[in-house]
Parts: sequence; structure tokens; C-alpha cells
Amino acid sequence: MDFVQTLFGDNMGQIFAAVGIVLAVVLSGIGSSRGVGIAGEAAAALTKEQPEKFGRALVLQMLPATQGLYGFVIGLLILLEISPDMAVSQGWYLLMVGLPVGITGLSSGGNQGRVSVAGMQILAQKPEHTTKGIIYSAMVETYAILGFVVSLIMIIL
Amino acid sequence: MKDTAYGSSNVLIRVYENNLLNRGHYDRMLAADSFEDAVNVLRETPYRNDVDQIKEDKNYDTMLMNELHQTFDELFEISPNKALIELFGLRYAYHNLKVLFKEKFTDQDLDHLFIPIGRYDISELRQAVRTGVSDVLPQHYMDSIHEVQEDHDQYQKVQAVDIILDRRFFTHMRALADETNEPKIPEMVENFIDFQNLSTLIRAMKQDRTRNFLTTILSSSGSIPKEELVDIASRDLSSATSTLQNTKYRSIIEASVDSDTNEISPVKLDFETDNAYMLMMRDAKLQSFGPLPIVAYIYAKETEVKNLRLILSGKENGVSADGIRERMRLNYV
Repeated sequence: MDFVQTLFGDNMGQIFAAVGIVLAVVLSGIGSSRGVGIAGEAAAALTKEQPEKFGRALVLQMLPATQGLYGFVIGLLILLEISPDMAVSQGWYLLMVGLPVGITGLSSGGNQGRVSVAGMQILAQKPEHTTKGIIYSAMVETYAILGFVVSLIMIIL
Repeated sequence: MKDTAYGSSNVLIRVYENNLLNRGHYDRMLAADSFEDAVNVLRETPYRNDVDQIKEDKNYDTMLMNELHQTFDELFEISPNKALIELFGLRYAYHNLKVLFKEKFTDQDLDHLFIPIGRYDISELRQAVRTGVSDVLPQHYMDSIHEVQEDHDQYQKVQAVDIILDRRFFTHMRALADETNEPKIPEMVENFIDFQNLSTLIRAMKQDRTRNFLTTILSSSGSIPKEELVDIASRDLSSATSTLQNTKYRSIIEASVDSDTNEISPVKLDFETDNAYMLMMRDAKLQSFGPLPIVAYIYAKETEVKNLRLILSGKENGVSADGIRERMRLNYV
């Protein structure tokens, strides 16, 4: 216990809150970069053959990018809650706030990227039906939004 | 390999698939009154640049081979797994090996017979065939080359080249299938080998070949054991038919039985196995990831070339539209 005391001093609450920020931003960021990455590879391959489809390919690519944004917003909100005299229990609570958006972002980002790649195949073969692919991909977004909303409520209420 | 690795190549495959000939093209070519009119339909397809040339010299084989060659070049470039394309282009490498050995053993110039498709250049194959060593070719190729060479040193029979290389082709294919590290591919290759074995078996039975002959030419790399196939051959055709109906290829066997003679017809069997293979490939339409779309595209292109050659040679020789149509293979799109 002495060692922990020397390491963190009296700022244990702030440390835990900071870990919450890290989890919210990093986990959802990993999810988004994976999703945007694989969708981007497919979009680049498509643009090589049909450059005129750049705009719609970009929409499909950007869909998995929102998770990282949600994590970023929650991270900022947690940051605003941190104060020098906060209790350790408050720190724990803020750490937990980071988890819903982080974990849902981590798993939904990559999965949404896969659906976007499949949507890119619609764009390649039947461009008139691309919107359907965008909708399918947006469905995965729901679960990232749920995580985001829960994190948001936890911090606001 | 992770299935997402194929994400971008599969998007490109979907683009290329738009250029495959569809039913409408084939129907109009079949309905055309003359060879020239049939060729004119190709003006709205990727073959458009060759139309005038073909009308003049009727040398459509060159055009079809060029198209295949170009397809394989593109696929080698976009595929994340080169072994996959090597596997499905292996038949051309073995064709080239046969030509090279015949050149070597008979001292002829057979340059015009080469098909420049494959992972390794013909010059590499030629060097390996001439000298028996190569720094580039993997062991499987060298095993095939050595086996042919040893057989020839011993018996001096040029005909053996085909038989040995055909059998080695299947063994090599089976081994390459494992090297692709894709879960579905070995099963697919086994199916393919089974189909070829069945075709060989039925033809050999029609010609009353010996047990020894069958043991030499059938491949043991399929899912039906070779001994079983050789056993089947020792019976008459109708009991062979009923035995084969107990394998997983029941529907194919049933469809290939000639209603007049009640025996399996080799021509029908080839037709049915080709179509069964195509039906398997059509599953790829529902897959966004994994290697199947690439594999299916190769098969779709090969079938397109096969069908086009059938139509054009039919038109050139005045075969009726129905006569051509009943021999055409199922189309991918």
C-alpha cells in the first residue's frame, strides 16, 4: 500500500479518471482505424479502376470513423469532470464511464468496416444500389451509438 | 490468411465481373446468321478491339488466349495470395512442360503451342527441363520434371510424358492447395480431381482399358480412393453406375446416364461436372471476403472462353444454334 501511496500520492481519483479517458479514446480509436483502414483499402482499389466513384466510396469509408469521434467526445467530457480534490470513488466512476463507448467502439468499428467493404462491392457492380450498402453499414453504427449514449448519460446525470 | 485481406481484391473482381459476357450476348451470337454477324456482337464486349482482325483471319483462338493471359496477369497483380492464382493456373504450366519435353525428346520446334500463363516464366521452365536444375522453381515442379526425365531415360517413350505429367499435375495441385492456407480450397481441389478421375474412369471403361493402365493414369489425390475407382472399373458399366451413385456425386452421375443405353455417357459426364463446378462457384456471389470470388472469376473467365470458342467454331462450320446451345456450359453471371 505504501508503494501505491508513493506512486500516486493523494491524486488517486484523478489517475483513475485519466485511465477512463485513455480507454474511451484509445479503444474506440482502434476500432475506427481498423474499420476505416480496410474500407479505405477497398475504396482505393475501386478508385484505381473507376475514379468517378470516389465520392460514394468516401461515404462508405467514413462510416466507421464515427466511433473514434464518440470516444474522443466522452474523453473530453471526462477531462472536464476532473478536479484536484476528487474522491477515489469518483475516479473509479469516471473510469467506468469510458468503458461503454470504448468497448462498443472497438468491436463495432472493425465490423462496420467489413460491411462497408461489402457495400463497396455493390458500388462496383451495381452503383445504383449503393445507398442500400450505406444503410447496411449504418446499422452497425447503432451499437456504437448505444455505447456512446450510455457513457454520456453516466457523465451528465 | 485473414479473409479481410481479400477485401480490396474482391471489390476489383466485382468491377471485372461487369465485363463478363452475359446470356444476352450469347443468345444474340447464337441467333446470328453468319460468323461475321456473331463476331459483331463482340463489339460491345472487352473483345471489341479484335473484331476486325478475326473477321479477316478467323483466328479467334489467339484472341481468347490473349484474354486469358491478360486475366491471369491482372489477378496475379491484385491477389493478396499468389499461390492461389498459381494453383488455378497450374494446368497451363503443365501444358507448357509437356510441350517443352516433347520439344526436347523429338527435336521439334513447338513454339506456337506455348500458353504464356503461370507464375513462372516459360524460360525458367525451359531451363529446368533442359538442365534438370533450377534456382527459381519450387520442388514440386522439379519433382515432376525429374520423374519424366527418369522415365524417359529408362524407357524412351514420348507418350509417357503426357501420362506422367497429368498425374503429377493433380498431385501438385493438391499440394499447392494446402500451401494456399485457405480452409475451403483443398476441398474444392479434391472435388475437381474427383471429377477428372470420374471422366477418365468412364472413358477408360468404354475403351476396355486394363487395370494397370487405370492405376497409372488415375490420381490418388481426390476424395474417392484410387483403389475404389480401379475396383469399379473391373465391373461392367451399369453396375459401375450404381456403385458411383452411392458417392457424394449421386446427382451428377444420375444426370449423366444416357437414357437410350442406360450407361454413363462420357460427354454428358463432362458437361455435368463442369456445370456442378460452376454451381459451386456461384456461391462466391454471396461472399464479400475470402478467396472464393477470385477463384470463381477465374473459372467464369475460362468458361467464357470455352463457350465463345464453341459458338465461334460452331458458327464458322454452320452448326445449328440449338446444336451449339446444348453443348454450352453454364454461365457465371
